[in-house]
Amino acid sequence: MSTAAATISKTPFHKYWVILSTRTQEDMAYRANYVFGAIFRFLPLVTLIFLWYAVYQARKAGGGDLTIRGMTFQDMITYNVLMYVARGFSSVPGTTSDISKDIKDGLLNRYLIKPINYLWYQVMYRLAHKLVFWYVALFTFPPIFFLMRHYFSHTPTLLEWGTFVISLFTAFSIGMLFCSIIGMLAFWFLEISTFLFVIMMIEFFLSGQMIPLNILPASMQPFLTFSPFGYEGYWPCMILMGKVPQTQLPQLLGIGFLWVGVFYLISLVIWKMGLKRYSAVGG
Amino acid sequence: MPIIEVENLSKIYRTQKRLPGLGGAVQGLFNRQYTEVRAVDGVSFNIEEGELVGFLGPNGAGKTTTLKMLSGILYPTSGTVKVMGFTPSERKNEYRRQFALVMGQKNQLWWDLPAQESLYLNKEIYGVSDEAYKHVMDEMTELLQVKKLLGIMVRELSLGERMKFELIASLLHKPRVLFLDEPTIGLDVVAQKNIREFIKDYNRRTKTTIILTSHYMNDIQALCERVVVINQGKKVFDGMLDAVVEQFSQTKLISVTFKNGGVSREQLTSLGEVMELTKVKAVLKVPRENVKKASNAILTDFDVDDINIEEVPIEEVIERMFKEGVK
Repeated sequence: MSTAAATISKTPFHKYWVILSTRTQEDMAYRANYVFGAIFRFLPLVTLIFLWYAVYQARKAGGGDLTIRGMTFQDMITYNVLMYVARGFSSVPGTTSDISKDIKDGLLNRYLIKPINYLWYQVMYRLAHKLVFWYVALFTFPPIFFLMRHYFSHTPTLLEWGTFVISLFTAFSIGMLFCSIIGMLAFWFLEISTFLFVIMMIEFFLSGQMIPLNILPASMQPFLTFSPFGYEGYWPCMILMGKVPQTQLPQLLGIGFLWVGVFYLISLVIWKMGLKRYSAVGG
Repeated sequence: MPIIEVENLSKIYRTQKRLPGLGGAVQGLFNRQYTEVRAVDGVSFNIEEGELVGFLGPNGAGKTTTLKMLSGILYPTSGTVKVMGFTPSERKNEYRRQFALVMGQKNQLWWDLPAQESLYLNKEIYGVSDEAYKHVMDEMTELLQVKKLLGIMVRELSLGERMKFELIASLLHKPRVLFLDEPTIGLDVVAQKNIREFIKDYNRRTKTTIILTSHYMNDIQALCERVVVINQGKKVFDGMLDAVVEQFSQTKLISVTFKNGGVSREQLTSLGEVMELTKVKAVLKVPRENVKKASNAILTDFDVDDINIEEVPIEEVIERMFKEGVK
């Protein structure tokens, strides 16, 4: 019995495509969960509107500037709405904990014995999650955007749309790689949940989910431009809002790509080093 | 040339030693102490193509660790492993397409989808052609009687049914070498028998080289002629299963049925260790060299209805072997 005769060579990517479609099918079983998530994730937006309204009212009463670092009240709300779109790409929930669990509990074994790349497997797995997320969001986001239409003051140019779309892929890549790297720390540390919490808080803040990064002190701005986290949320939003000068767009995309490359290399190295330490417990 | 060559293979795990209690945990933060566990210690063996070899040993003996090194999951600490000419820890796709590892306690099927989806996914991962896939599926689902279950959610299948699909998923690409780690663990007697018969038949038909570990002696006895016995990381025996008994059991069992009964324990103790004594029946454990003498004595001294000389059950031999720790 010849094994070679039983195998044919499709493109090496074909198997990853099947992983993606299989996982999408499985994820579809939980679409009700996605619908709930998609609706209720907008609740904090109500709080944010009240909060920023109070801030801008206070400035108005004090006779101060009606913009904060070039952002009007409308801009501030638009920013927060767009953040949902950006996070819809850059957040890959469960990645870190799944990877660290696979390592800790020895579940990694089942991938290591197959002719498959575990990290690409994870990418496909998460991409499937994103597909189902956006499939559901296609129905839940438009009504919200319609309700919020009065806040949107800028009509993006074609260049801004293009850069925005590319930046969303960068956002996904950075989010995915960063989470994978943190997850793989489980090769060295048995329990990473506290560390994870700290890291996630830092990411949350530095990606601009709490407040737009341009509100932070001017001395921090160069650092924020070069930090990878801004590319997970802040920059995509600012690009579509027309807050980034056209001449700066290539530079931003370049730094984003650079981080994707750097994280990719780090993940490969950590993977290689980690496997040497891997003890494949259980079974 | 052997298909599997293992030479002086060792795996040492380094684990952090922790003193008990909170104080110990705090101390461990500053002053870490490690203990080394030799899970596999200088093991060597060769396996020829088509052989079905059993790995025997108590929990923690190093069986699974050895299998993990053979399948490239773990890097050996020292020694060499060659399977089909490949070094497993390099994890070349070409190697991974030619072997399979089935772990009784782990599963690779996707929980929330019908089994056929997971099988199809494996087909694509291993690059199995459509015709070959159809052929293997028809054959295996028929043999294991799971054709009707293909469309049912994996979470709704019984443990035995899931194991059957695990096997199919692992055999789709027709591996030349198959590692089975406790494939019947947790299954009921009927399911165990089904799986066992399937493995035996599969090995016979396809000449696939198989290494099997199992806690159940029945599995090993039914399937393997040759066994490798591992204890505390070291190989203690490698040879025919029957020879285990000869080598490690210095006693035989003599069971006697008496015509009239009324035989007392005292009358028998001089002949051997009395294992069992009822009104009409006795079982004696007698050193091999004394068997002839003892049975003669029984036949002349008592009114015997029936006498039987048997080997000590292999399970018992092995159990004792592990308990006493063979060197």
